[in-house]
This record gives sequence, structure tokens and C-alpha cells, in this order.
Amino acid sequence: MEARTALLEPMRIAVVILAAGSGSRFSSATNKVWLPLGGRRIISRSIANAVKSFPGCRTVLVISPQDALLANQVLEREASDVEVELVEGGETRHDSEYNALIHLAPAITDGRINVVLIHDGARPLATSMLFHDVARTAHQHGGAVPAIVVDPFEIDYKCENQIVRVQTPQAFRASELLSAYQKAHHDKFVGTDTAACMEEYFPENKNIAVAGETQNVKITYPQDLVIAEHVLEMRGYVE
Amino acid sequence: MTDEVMYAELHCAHCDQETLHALVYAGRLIVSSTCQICHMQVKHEPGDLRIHYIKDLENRIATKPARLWRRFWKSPVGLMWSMPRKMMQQPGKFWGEIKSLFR
Ligand SMILES: [Zn+2]
Repeated sequence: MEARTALLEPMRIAVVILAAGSGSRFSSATNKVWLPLGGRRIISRSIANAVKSFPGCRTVLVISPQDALLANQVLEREASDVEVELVEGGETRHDSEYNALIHLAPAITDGRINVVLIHDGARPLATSMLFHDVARTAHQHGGAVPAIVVDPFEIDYKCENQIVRVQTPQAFRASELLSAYQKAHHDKFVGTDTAACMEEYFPENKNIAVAGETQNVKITYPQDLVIAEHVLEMRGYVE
Repeated sequence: MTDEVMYAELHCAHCDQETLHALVYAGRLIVSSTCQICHMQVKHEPGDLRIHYIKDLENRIATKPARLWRRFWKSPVGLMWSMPRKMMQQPGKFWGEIKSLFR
């Protein structure tokens, strides 16, 4: 493994953070990624975690068009030291990822980016260790997906198979990822997630599971906000 | 963010779907959330929240100089204009936060 690592070229990372959501039925609703969490917006924490892990990396934030003004205000106030590139999201998560990859395509094609991480903006507690783990694994093997094993009884008492819950950030070799999404766009294929699209077009590519983090919660239920506040407090409010 | 109410779509365990929730904040901390369909409320335990609030307040005070310094370098004029108004608002802001925690 060491000899193989030594042969690899250095990692040149881009992080895509998805914050477009699926559009709200309620006009007064804020997309949850823009909610405050311990004094900073959830999305600012997600961005800070990515940038702290890879200083100077390309950082793409995919947003809904109606959030553009809010995004500029929040970034100005909470992430002014980071160069964040805003990209308009699509109707689905897959479309949003495609838009981000097309935005990065020139740099991927000429080799300035060789690993792309896709991260859900509603996961503000992923640590640098996880960001590094997935990036390194994808660089070596092609793809990396964090997963945690779930007690199968939690889902179905008859279930005997091991069940895993996947998280983000997920990482992939940039050229294959771009190519997979371009082919999917041409074929009108929509994968359930990033890894599914890669498996469709690059089945020979290995998507390795890396150990996820139990604290890497996705803000879904209201109680997740309370849990996330407690985790932040335990960490001394440091990302 | 003093006793501020924000609305966001979150998954309600009772309705088992994404619904509009009203989220009440005291300072930087969430006090409660209420589903606007079934009115199920999730509350931070009051005692727990008060300890949490005091720790958060300590952190806010400890990090304030660094945060102000960063903003000063970014926009010295903008910060100077906003400072007097913000300082006037502080007693009312803390009173509002404390009221949210003890009601
Ligand atoms: Zn409900």
C-alpha cells in the first residue's frame, strides 16, 4: 500500500456542499441549512469543517436561486475568509451535483482537481478526520463512502443482514465522477446518490466504505438541532 | 437572535412527514420547536438549557474580542457605525434571552 501511495500524485481537492434542498411548500420556511446552530448558520459550520480540512481547496456551495441574497449575506458575515463559489442547484440532488461538477469541469479536465468531495450542507458536525479519510481513500481506490453499522432490529426484527447507514462527505476521483455525471445526463439516468451514479458507469471503480461518525448527524428532526448543540458544547464550540 | 422565532421545514415524528416548524431561540440556543400541523412541541429541558446557556454565554464573551477584531479588519468603518447601536441593545438582548429560559 505504501509503495502505491508513493506513486500517487498529490491530492488536489474540491469540496461541493449541497444546500439547495428540494424547495419548500411554505413561503415562510427557511431551508434548514440556514438555521442558526450555536451562533452560526448550519451551512457556515459545514463549510468551515471542509475548509479547515483542506485549506485553499475549491469550495462550491450549491444553493436554491431564492436563497442567493441570504447566502451572500451569511457568507459575508460568517465565512468572509473563505472563497466560496456559488452554483445554482437543480430540481433534484442529482441535478445539483451535476451543476456543481459542470462548474468544476475545466479544472477537473486539466488536472487541477483530482478528488471531489460531495457533502450534505445539513451535516455540520463532520470532523476533519472524516474529510481526510474519505479523500485519501478515494484518491487511492476511486471512491469512499462513510458508513455506520445499524442494529438491524432497529429497522426490522426479521432482518438478519448487516445494515449500514451512509453519510457524507463522500469522495470520488474527479475525472471519473465528472464522466459518470455527464453520461448520466446524456442517458437521463438519476441515481439515488452519488455512489449509485458512479456504480452505474464505473462498476470497476471501488467505492470503499470508511468508518462514519455517530456524531455526524444530518439535521432532519427538530431534536437533531438540540443534539447538535450538545455536541458543539462538548467540543467547546470549535468546529 | 434574542427570543427569535424562525420557521423551517423539518421532519415531524408525529406527522411522519416534513412539516413547517416554529423554532424559538434564546440567544444562540434553541429553546423549543413546534410542528405547525400537529403542534407537537420539542423542548430543551429547562435546567439543562440554563446550564447550557451559561456555558454558551461564557464562550460568547471569551471569543468576542477575536470576533470583533476579525470584523474590524474586514470593515473598520462599518463596525464603528454599528457599535454604538449594538452596545445600546445589549441589556435588552440579555434580558430577552433570560426571559425565554425562565418562563
Ligand atoms: Zn407534526
